[in-house]
Amino acid sequence: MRIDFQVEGGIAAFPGLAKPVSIDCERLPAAATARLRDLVRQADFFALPRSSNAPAAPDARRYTIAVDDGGRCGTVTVNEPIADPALRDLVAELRVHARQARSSA
Amino acid sequence: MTTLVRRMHCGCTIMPPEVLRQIAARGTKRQRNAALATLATDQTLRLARATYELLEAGAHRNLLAVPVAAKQRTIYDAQHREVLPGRVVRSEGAAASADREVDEAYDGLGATFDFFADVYGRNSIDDEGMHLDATVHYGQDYDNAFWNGQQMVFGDGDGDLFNRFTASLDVIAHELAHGVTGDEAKLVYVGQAGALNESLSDVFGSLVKQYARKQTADKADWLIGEGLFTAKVRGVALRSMKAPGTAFDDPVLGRDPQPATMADYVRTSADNGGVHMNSGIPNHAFYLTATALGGYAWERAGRIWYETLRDKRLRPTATFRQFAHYTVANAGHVFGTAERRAVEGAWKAVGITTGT
Repeated sequence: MRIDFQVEGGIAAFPGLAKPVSIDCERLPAAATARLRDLVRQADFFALPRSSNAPAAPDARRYTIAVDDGGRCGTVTVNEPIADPALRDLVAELRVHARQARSSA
Repeated sequence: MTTLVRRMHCGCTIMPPEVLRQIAARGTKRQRNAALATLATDQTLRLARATYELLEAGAHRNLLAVPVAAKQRTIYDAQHREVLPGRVVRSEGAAASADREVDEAYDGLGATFDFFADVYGRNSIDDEGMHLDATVHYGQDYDNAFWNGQQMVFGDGDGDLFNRFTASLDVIAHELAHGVTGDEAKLVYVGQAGALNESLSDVFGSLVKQYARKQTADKADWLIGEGLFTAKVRGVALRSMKAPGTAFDDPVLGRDPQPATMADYVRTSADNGGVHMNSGIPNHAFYLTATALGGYAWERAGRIWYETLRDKRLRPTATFRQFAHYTVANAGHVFGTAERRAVEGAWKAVGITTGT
């Protein structure tokens, strides 16, 4: 499974933080991969609407999540605050991965 | 203004200008709008009609009965979850809590309210006493703050690159000012209108800080979000109105992408068309206006920008040029030729011609 994750907006424009992050589950420890798969499933990701139509609130961030699990692929764009708890948990986990990716870059 | 007063003293006035100014500062929203319209007008018939409206509204009778603007703050704790508003932790008038972020939000909301009330006679975000609500400790390692349409939301930062977002008074005021813009001009949050929306929040954010510190324009730092970065970051603030593009240059965050002039306008679909980037241009125009005029920036530059924010001719889809045009017009109406020229010069310096 591969997940592409991008964060836009927020209180300031940080070019380094706005870069998309690509998470290749093949390269992660098994526990981390399992957690991501669980979160994707719990969010019922591939059934989610592609994007929220409502405009983001001022200084709120917009998240774009693209998941390709070999069989299916889909992209979801959502503004914060995220109402769906399962999607919220998935985004929180992806933010941790993004931070780790930046630190090790 | 002096030209207008002279004309009014030539016998066309029903309502003396001093009374109009009192109403402008302390009346109800409807009365104040009429008073400001009267003060700004330069045609005898419009003057007479607007003055008649004030008499109809009974403004002169209930000047002394106008209620004083009063704060009504509530601070909530989201307890590191992303659910709003969270648990009430401090209400209006309550003593300081043991929680630093709670007290910073409480004080910051108060300072912002006081600024708008004292300087522009505005009774809270909607000019009708709207309650001020803020949630702190939102999310985990949450490195952001935002206005959700009804309240402010603050994260604690990740402790790695970002400190807590309540640490900066201008950031607190920036968020609250989004509410003011949403009540007045309703500038859409995309493209140039969105960059203006962002810039207005930086302008009033900075003015709230300058007012609290009693700083003149030349003494102010004109930085937004100073103190939000940890020592690890190569940067001083989120943005600089004095020198857009210089606030940070960091291996992880990247380089401050703000342009100072139209020559470097950023064409992008990211960030709603670069609203946090291109805001550097109107920010810089405000900085240039304030420093050209000198003194306290909120008295003239800030007033001109505030009246333009409330100008009924300003559309939600306004471009930089349209906004600039009205700042020039309002500078002339509310003040005079010197102020108008300063505003024109500032916009010209950032690459916007306002030719009238």
